[in-house]
Amino acid sequence: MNVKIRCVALFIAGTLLILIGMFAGPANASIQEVLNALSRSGDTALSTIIWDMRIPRVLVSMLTGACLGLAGVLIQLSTRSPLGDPNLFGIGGGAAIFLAAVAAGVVTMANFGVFAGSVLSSLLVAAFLSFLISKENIGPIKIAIIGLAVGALTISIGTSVISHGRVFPTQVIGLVAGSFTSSNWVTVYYLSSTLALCMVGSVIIAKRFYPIILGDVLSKSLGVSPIKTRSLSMGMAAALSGASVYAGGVIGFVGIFGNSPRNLIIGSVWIGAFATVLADQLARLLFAPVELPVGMVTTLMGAPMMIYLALKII
Amino acid sequence: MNITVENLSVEISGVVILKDVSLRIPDQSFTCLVGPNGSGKSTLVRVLAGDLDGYRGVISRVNVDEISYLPQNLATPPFVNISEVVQTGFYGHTLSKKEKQLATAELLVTCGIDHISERSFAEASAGEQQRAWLAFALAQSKDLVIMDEPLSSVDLASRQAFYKLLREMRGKGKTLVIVTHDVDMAMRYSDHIICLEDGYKAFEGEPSLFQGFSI
Repeated sequence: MNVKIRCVALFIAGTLLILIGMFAGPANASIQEVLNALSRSGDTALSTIIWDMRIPRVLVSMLTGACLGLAGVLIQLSTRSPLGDPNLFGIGGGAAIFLAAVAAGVVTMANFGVFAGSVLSSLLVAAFLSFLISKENIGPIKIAIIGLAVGALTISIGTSVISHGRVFPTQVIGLVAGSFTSSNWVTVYYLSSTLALCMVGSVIIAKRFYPIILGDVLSKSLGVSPIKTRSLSMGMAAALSGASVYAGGVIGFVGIFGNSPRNLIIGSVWIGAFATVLADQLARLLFAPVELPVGMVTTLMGAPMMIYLALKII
Repeated sequence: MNITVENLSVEISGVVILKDVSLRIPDQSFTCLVGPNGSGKSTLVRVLAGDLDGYRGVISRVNVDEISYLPQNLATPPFVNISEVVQTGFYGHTLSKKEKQLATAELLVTCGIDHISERSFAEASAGEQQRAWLAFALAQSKDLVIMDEPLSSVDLASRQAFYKLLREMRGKGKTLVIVTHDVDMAMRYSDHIICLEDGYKAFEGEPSLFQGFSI
């Protein structure tokens, strides 16, 4: 019952945020004007703003949050640590290095190539991370420390590549601190297909997480291979965070908001989506027309939560 | 089914851990394995549980698939509550979800933790966690349950209650092997004691005949 009430509350708050994302903004349009623009009967400039900027932006921020939330919970459950986050663990950082190389002109590619490259780079870092933590019986705290170190490493490599390429500062901030300003429909399609595939995959392996949570020895005695499950989860987390960094840059801490095998999808996907739309609307409107990097807002929300979790649970 | 071990020797990286140990674990007994630190108790149960290869000697035993083994120092699982830990013991069973829930509820009652079934595992007391692990082991429905030092940090009253519970289990057709430092409890509640000292078997037999460690 309690869960149902929370779901309904989350749904209402989320809908409100989506409406804010569509109706509020520097263009200062009235509700009637926005409605006209939505039906494409009014001002064509406003129509473009709504259909090609505001709506894709809300959708991209929602999907990005959903991807990060699911990636986070996959990492947390498979490593038995409540502190797992794809971007803090450097998995998203792999995509950031690749995107930095694209922005610096080191690599030139078409749209889909950039997306695929981001996902592949994240997969590479995830494979590296999985290798580092593949020793049996490695504890969750060690995994968190190794993950954070890999995260710091990827961000420093990414920023080095970018500063080498004399890229515009706003682009740099967008990549390393997160931004949804350049959201478009293509990104919506990429994100939603990645999310859909990984949601199906997660639901298929969801049952295995119970044995995994009890530790490697017991998990093996129950017939579930910890290394295999961890690799599968890391692979999906990599695809999800690679796609999310392609869409909005490195946005940290979203992954730690939901963490339970019970409500795998509701607890991670919906909360991640909600938190990110909220963060983006705050980033966009708090000091409008100046925008904050969205990763800055998620860090403000997530960092205290992480400290709390570290003190309470570990 | 009795388990017999004959002339078991184990050497791990040049160090001899068990020397020529022969023993018998009677069917449906509550066997306690006692001995000082470093006497080879954990190694012995690891061999029994099939968790350690590379030994010499002969072990007649039930299939490894018939053993539920809880190693020493289990890490506290995050995210889950007591009843979820117990229900995970049924993982891989052919029971339906409903049947698993019913069987879990029954085990929670048997182990006296039904009142805290929804409590987060990490927030339960050491004694409650131990009961949950026992319920988990029982959920696996194996004939032989091996627990390595389950009660190192639990107060006397809970320890006593736990040993009583184990004794009841034995009455229900399970064979139990418990590694423990708690000689008092072993002598009071078990029906078979094996004492290891420095890799040798120092004693095996009825609790009433056990004289304590010789060193």
